[in-house]
Amino acid sequence: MHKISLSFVLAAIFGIALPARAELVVVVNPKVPVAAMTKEEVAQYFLGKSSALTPIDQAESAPIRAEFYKKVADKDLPQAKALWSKLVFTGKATMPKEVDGNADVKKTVAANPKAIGYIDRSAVDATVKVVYTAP
Amino acid sequence: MDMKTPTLATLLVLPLAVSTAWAQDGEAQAIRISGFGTGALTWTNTNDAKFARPFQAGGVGTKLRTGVDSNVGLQIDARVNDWLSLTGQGMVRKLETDSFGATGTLAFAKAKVSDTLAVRVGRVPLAAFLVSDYRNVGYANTMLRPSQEVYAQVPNDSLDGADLDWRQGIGGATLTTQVAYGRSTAKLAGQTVTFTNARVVNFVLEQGPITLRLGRDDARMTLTQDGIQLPKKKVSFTAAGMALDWNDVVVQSEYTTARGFGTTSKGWYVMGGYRFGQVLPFVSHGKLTGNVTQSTDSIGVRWDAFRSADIKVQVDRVKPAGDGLFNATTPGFRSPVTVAAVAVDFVF
Repeated sequence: MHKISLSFVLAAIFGIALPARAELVVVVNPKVPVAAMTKEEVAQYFLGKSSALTPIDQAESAPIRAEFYKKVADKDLPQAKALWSKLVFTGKATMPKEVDGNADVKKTVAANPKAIGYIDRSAVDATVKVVYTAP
Repeated sequence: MDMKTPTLATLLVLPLAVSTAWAQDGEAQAIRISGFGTGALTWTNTNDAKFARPFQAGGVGTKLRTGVDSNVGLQIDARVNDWLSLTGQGMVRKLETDSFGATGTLAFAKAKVSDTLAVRVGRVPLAAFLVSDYRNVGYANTMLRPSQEVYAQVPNDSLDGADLDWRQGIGGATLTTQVAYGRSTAKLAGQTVTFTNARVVNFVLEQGPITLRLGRDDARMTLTQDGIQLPKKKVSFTAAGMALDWNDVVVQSEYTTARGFGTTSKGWYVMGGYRFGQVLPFVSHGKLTGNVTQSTDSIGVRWDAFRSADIKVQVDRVKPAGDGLFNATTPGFRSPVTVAAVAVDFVF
């Protein structure tokens, strides 16, 4: 309880509270021969631990991005960025491609059979396949 | 403030302008420009010695200086096709002389052989210890500067040769095997260190919040001091490290040895911190024994105040035996020394 109240106070001070949102889903190209993924499987692509699929990020200022990293990778955005900095500046990986909004994520994922992205459930259509739904 | 501050300020601002110009093009380009940097002020409580990073000329006393902990790096990644890419990185910092100078830190071609195997040829990082290959990227680290006691043992940053990075899934864990071969020359304060026939093997095991690392480097070292080349020596570095980032608890620790530089040196540190939202206070203790004996107790905080920048404050209590790792000691020099630093780390 103590931890929760402290987090709340700090969130209030630094303005990092996450707004309530619609359901978040992780999508891949319909050609990917996988029906479902675990949270850990999704997280590995967005934390640079596997390059079998190519992560597609939403804009840094988009609330869905913070929500995705918090719920799926258990990271705040600065933590995720610090992790990527290690990979980028040691030449091991390049920063995930960033696109603007659900529609552009769908477009990119539909066009690239190796792409993985996250969007609002309400934006899902036949061009992409849902492999994970955030709780 | 020292005379170099305007130069540093210019260097810090210039890549930001470049980055903004590129960002407007969107992210679809095959060429990406990115960078990192730290603007820092460092000072100590004595003028009887200069505090510096390992192998750095000059250093700082009671007068605030930017040179010890500031740097800026610029990187270009060019994607040639699905499997081939090129990377170049340059960094400006103070090292072999007491003024800011540029070094080409990376320049390699990378072939992604498969999703789990990559081979790089050219100037690749020399990843001797846990944070060796990103120790100059302040934003990627919790502490303001890597443990002096451990990182003073390896003078060289990069290898001219090749490396291989192979990832395997083992149960829920990932084992990364890194193998590198090459040579390297480092120009340092008062000396030039050349490694030939350098062989590196590292194993990194990651499972959830835990990272375990074992590493071993062997090389032939040629040391040139004041224009005089000393006889070649066999040197080796052995390292065991761990990092934990679990439920806001952050721990990082390494035990390392360096053989072949006279007495075998042993260096270790333990750093622990706890993340309160964007604020991460930490404490650390490091110790070096061998040719040089010194220990440091540190307390500090990392605050992720901005989207791509953090603010750090760190105070170190450094206890050298004799001169320790300090430069320009006077006969009146007495241990311990308090070192304080304030830094802003950024990436773009």
